[in-house]
Amino acid sequence: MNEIIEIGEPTELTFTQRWNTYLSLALAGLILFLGLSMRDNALNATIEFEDLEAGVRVQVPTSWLLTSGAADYVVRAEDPNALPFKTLLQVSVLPVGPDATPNNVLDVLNIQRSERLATYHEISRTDETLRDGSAAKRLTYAYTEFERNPFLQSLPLVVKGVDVVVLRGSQAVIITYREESSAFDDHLYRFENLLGTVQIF
Amino acid sequence: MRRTKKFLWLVGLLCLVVGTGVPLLPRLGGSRAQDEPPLVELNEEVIKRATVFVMQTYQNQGQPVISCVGSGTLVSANGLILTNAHSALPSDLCRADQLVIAVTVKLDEPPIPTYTAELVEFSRGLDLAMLRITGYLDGRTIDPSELQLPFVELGDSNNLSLDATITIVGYPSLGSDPVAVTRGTVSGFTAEKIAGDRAWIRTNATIPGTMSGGGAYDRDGKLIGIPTIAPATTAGEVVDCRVIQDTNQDGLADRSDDCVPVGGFISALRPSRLARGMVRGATLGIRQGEDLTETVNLPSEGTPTFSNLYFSTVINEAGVPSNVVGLVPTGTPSLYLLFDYNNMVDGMIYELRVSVNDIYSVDYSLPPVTWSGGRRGTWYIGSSETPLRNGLYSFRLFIEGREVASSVINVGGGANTDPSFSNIVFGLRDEDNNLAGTGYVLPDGSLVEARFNYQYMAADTAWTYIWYFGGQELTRSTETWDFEQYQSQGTRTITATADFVPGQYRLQLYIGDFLSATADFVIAGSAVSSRAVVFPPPAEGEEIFTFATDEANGQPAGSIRTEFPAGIESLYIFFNWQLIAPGTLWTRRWYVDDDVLFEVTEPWDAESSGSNYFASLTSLDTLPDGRYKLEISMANIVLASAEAKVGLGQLPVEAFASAEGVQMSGRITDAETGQGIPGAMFLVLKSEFSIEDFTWDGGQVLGYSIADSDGRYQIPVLLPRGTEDDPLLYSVLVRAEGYLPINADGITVIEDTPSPVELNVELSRN
Repeated sequence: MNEIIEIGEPTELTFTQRWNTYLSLALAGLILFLGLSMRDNALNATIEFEDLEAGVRVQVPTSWLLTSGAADYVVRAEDPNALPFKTLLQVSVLPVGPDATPNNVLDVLNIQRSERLATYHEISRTDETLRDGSAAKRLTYAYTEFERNPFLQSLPLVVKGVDVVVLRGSQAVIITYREESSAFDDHLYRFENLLGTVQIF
Repeated sequence: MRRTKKFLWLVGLLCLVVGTGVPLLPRLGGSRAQDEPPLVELNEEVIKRATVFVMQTYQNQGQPVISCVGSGTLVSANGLILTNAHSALPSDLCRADQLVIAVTVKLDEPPIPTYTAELVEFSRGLDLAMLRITGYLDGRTIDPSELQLPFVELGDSNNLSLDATITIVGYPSLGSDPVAVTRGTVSGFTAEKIAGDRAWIRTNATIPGTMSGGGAYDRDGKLIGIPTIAPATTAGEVVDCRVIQDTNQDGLADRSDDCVPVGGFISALRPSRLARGMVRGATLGIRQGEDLTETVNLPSEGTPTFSNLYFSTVINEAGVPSNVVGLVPTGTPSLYLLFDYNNMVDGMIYELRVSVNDIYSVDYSLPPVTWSGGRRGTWYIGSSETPLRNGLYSFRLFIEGREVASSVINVGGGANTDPSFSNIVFGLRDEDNNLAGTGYVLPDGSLVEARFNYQYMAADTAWTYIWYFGGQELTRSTETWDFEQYQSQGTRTITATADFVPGQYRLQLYIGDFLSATADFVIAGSAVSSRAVVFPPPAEGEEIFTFATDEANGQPAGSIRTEFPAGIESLYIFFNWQLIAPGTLWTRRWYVDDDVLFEVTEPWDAESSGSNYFASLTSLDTLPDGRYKLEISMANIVLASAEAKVGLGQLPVEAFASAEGVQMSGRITDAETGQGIPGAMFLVLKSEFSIEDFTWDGGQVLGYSIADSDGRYQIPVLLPRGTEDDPLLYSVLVRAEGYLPINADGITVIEDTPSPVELNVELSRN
């Protein structure tokens, strides 16, 4: 017994079906966008840090390890997830004389770091104006980061850093960013964000 | 069925994301309690890592040359090292312009030169030195606060008993072998004048000379001794010296090159109590500052000699022999060899070789060690707390490998009933006609009385007493024993009338031709009643000592008071003195909160009388709060002391970090590949915080480590222990970009938690 199978041409989607498809795609896109946006917000969320004694207020990333009150900085934030170098943002305050210039401060930092950091060298020094209009100096430098625990062994990393120095009366405020050189540009925005939130009072 | 599978899958996922910490929640410890206790319950890995290799180096034609080597031990996390002075101080034998510290990175590999160090404090006589790590080999400096090195704590060496098990850790060769552990027992104690009865701990362990400066540990893993030996010499030449470098750069490393002395085998340990002050001083950042007279180790004026050897079985608290013996009965627990020395220089190497019935005895001998008694005086070496076995004991003394004196004594037989004198003390009569004074320091005058005990004396026994001043005979008298008046035993007083000017005196009592008792005393100061006042107040009713924060032209300056505010950098003490003969040995001790930090014995090298002698303490930063006391003594008699308060008058509670705790280390790996995750962060919270409390505030963190190239991490601080009843619970977090984070609470640390604890973590990619 023969059976006849009819193969028909595909019929066009109806208006409703077509719009359902469009809406589904748009919804998926929206959800993806919202998800990414939420993730981005979560990753870039900040909290306020304030040190009344040092006169510094700044927004630092949440879920970064935050240490404060050390002798050589006001606040330091390190990204615990970053590999292999823990991205570092730091605000420090240095007492300076009335005739000091930002260049003097950078010279002092250069000398101190040359003694402490392996293969430390300055890359560039440029003028900068902060959002509030104050004049600052930006120093870019690099050095080799090595394992300080003698019982662990790691290959040294090339670290690039930036300092922005701004003078406030008898203090120099130094805002620092350090990152492994290959990821330096990718995370520079974090530093720029921080710089935009720094308040010195 | 499908629903059950889905549920299991969800549970599994939950475990992966949240509960990966489950394998991280062991109760760390407890298993040992069911087993037999190990022979030595010490944290061997931490001790090994805290043991460093010390190299003295100098530049020769632009090349670093190793001149001397030794072992050392880290005693603080910020890089303080305890070692032998002879391994750290430059000398003719050890030319040096740099101290290089090599550390054990891997326990089964030789040490790796990593740091440079500086000398902080030393004692040539005790042969102990404190070093501080200051930089890396490439010249970069180190902020000590950034160092988090493993370290050990000092134990109480006074509690050590005979036959106690000890573990010695150090480097057994010239840096070509990994750190070694040797076990042995305490075989005795050796007395030496500089440190009393337990000046040395003797051990039967076999310890190579390069382990000198390392550490000896008790069962609790506390440092109780420092293996010490100076390289043996013969006629100025080092006995065992190895060529390891082409120092003259002639293309060959041979006998014409400088060699590295390795010493013999060590059988003596300096007790850790002798290093305690030095360690505490360095930990607190306190140093001895400037004094009126600088301590100078002058070169020898002539041939160094040891003479007038004799034996005693008892040394009293003033360091004076109570008797003189020529024969020792069976079972005598102590025997001291006393001798005079002249033209000695601190840092010279001397040695005592003892043989019993012509067989060399390690236990009674003293291996080559450094001299510390100054130019001239009386010294003793002895054996205490160990009954002597019968035999003929032969004592031979060596200076720089040259035999200079010898004596023999017989041990055996019953108690001696020969006539004898003992226990000489000196003084002046007080108003009640009693002998008064400090016993061995008397004032300037024309009369001295000596009281002594006698026993088994017979009628008409000839006996002689001789008074000496500065080694020269002053007066003598030979008499026959007046039995009717004094009987056979009792106490007798003799009087010497002479011009007793300031200086060092001696009385010897002979029975027949045999020396039976002898004692030294010092004349210093003027008489007030029957006492010697050596350090008078500036004016009637004033304090003897003046404390100040500074000195200007030999006068107190800055703040002058006895209670100082916190934050001062230096503390000076000024005092006047009278009638002290130059060369008289005197001792000054600085105490902080009742602990001796510094003790210096040296010849008096200022004028005989004067005002404003000053000594000082200084600090790298500021002197910590505390009670600071200076004590001055002569002939072991304390003559004056004074105390000042800084800040709260008490050392900060956290002044000394504890080396007790659990070391946590391990490996962080990728769950899929098993490869280490370089850069992953392992973080331990303080026990008072849980994961829920954690706000990523650094103040909540006990310590963290970044994994190395192989994924290995090591928390740089030790986890404090709780107790069985009150355990300490820790929380840990592990983070790495691209991996699911791990958080875990409830890691329990109690008394018997083994250390180090290895905690390996697998991370799953997200």
